[in-house]
Amino acid sequence: MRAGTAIEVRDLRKSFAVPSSDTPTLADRLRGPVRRGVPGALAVLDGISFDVEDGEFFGIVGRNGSGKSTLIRILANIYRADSGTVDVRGRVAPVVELGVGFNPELSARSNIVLGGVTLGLDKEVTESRVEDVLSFAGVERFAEMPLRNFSTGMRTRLAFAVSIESDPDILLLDEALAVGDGDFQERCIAELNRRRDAGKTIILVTHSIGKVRQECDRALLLVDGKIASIGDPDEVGLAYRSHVTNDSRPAHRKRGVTDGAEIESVELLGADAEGGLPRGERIEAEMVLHMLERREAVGGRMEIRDGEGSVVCSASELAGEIGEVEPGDRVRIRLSVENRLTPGEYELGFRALTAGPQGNPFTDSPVEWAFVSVSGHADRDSGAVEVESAAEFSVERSTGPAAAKAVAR
Amino acid sequence: MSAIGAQPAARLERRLGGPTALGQGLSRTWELVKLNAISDFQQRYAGSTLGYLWTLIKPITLFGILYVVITKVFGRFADIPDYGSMLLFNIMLFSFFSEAVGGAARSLGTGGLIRKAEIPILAMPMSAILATTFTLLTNMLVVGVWITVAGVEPQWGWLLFPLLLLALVVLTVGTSLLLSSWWVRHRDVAQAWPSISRLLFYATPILFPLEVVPKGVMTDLLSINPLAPIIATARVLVIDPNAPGWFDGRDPVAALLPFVIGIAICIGGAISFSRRAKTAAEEI
Repeated sequence: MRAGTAIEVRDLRKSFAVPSSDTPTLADRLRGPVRRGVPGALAVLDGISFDVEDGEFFGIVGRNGSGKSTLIRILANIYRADSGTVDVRGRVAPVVELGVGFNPELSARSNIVLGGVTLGLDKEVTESRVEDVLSFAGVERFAEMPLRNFSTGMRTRLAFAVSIESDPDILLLDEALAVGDGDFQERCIAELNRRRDAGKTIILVTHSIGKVRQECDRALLLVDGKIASIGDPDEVGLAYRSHVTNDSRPAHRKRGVTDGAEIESVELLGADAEGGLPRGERIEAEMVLHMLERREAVGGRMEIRDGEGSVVCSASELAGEIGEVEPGDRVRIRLSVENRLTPGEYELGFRALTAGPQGNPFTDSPVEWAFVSVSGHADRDSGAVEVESAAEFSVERSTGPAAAKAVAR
Repeated sequence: MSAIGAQPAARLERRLGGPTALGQGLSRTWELVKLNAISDFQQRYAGSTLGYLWTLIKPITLFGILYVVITKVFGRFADIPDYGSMLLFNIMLFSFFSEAVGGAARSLGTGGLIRKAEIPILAMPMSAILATTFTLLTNMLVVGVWITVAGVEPQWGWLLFPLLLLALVVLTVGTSLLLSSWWVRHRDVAQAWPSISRLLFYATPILFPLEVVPKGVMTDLLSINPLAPIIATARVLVIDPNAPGWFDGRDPVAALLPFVIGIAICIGGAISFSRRAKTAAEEI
């Protein structure tokens, strides 16, 4: 292993046998052995190689079934690889699920020890950290209470505290951050960053492009058991967003190509090199469509999503005045929307729209994505958009001489 | 918050090879076995008013019923010295085997643990067995009190009893390993065990002393049952030194057969388990 590397994966392959159903029952066998499912093999990880460095916050993204959880379990030595090698340096603790090894009948204190030892710590070490875990979880007063009397939130906090306080050299988190309230999640992230800064390696499996962009130093996108993109979190995030939005489309609609046109380029105007948008100024983009077929109408759409992938708004504009366009024509669209976004991270998606001939309905192209941010102090409570507001106040006083209506503006 | 990175301990470099029965070494396995056994034992009786007393009530109830039915209803075995002590003792020993194997057989599924953390797979059945061993030890105290009150004479054979107990534990572990590894692919094992266990109960000299077993099917059954010589010898060592031993009046080949089968179960169990340990997490 190279110095400074925490994990080294080379040509890793793993497949699972997929019988047509689980263990055939006796009834199945009586119906005839011929009808029994022939077990096939499903390649879940198909020859992947990558390194993770010491002190890296590394993200693994991919859709359900892409092989993320299998990869994490192989890194945690829970599953055996079919071929290829995995080398790790230091103690690895997986958090596939929070509260592994917990026993609801026992006290929080006993559960901390149980959980710690299950994750690979020595009993003595775990026992010496019980107070730290209790305080990180904020449940010091309930140290002797059986876990079954804990609220879900308290249990989650305790479980996360156990995982993080087990202080492994390599921490593998499988969607573990998707639980808990926002406040606790932020504390977890802060704590993870503290560990990372101390040279520990954090691997986060997630669906959240926002988390990858904000927290990860590097990331990896798994598609059908292969690495589709690796490196810069923004690039991996874009590849993931594009994969999620576009890959469910029919195969003949390639990236950026609608039935009659392809998106040749998209340029975000007024944004700086990092995709920073000035707060309050209109968001303006120039799309160039290259026509592949004759169309009676063309247009473009801009869609804005927040850091978690939820659609904030979308705007479509159609060209009324340019008339029919012929193959080879280039259509330039300047599309702008009002910028009411509050500071934070956003995703902009662009599509080409075309219609006709013979009054065919509009079809839209796959989306070209760009990541942007609106600078300023991010206040989570204020939501994704700023809206104009006004209010009228009145009070009906119950006591005193001024019991008349008072109106204030 | 603990000081992180305070002691830059040497970080071990290792190539991952997947889980094994003893993954990460004996001491970690033993630590997990102890902790999980204690946790399992505590959980079993948590919330019940009588708590640990249940570990005694269950075998004593079975003993009481059988004792009354056999000696009062059927009027049998009045001439067998210390029959009551023998019956209680045998039931306690058999309950350990039956409960430990029953618990261990499905232990690889417990809490989905082996799918969520790097666990030496052997720790799973072993903690189920150890939890039942606590019960066995408390039960042996009860037997001790009983046979003292019943007036059984102290014997030199008592000194050898721990060895016999060890043989019982080894057979229990071997059977547990075999069944728990089969359970991964054939859940029927857990369903079948209560019936197999009942069959074994009657095919072992538990309620009846060895000397009353008629020649024929019953003798043949005893000859393929590795528990039979253990239970028969326990009676000789602890209750009645004049009772017939396992080898008395038995064809030497037939007498050795249960030992051979017992050893085969243990070796087969170890091989089967260490093979299945590598893929159990993916298969459950």
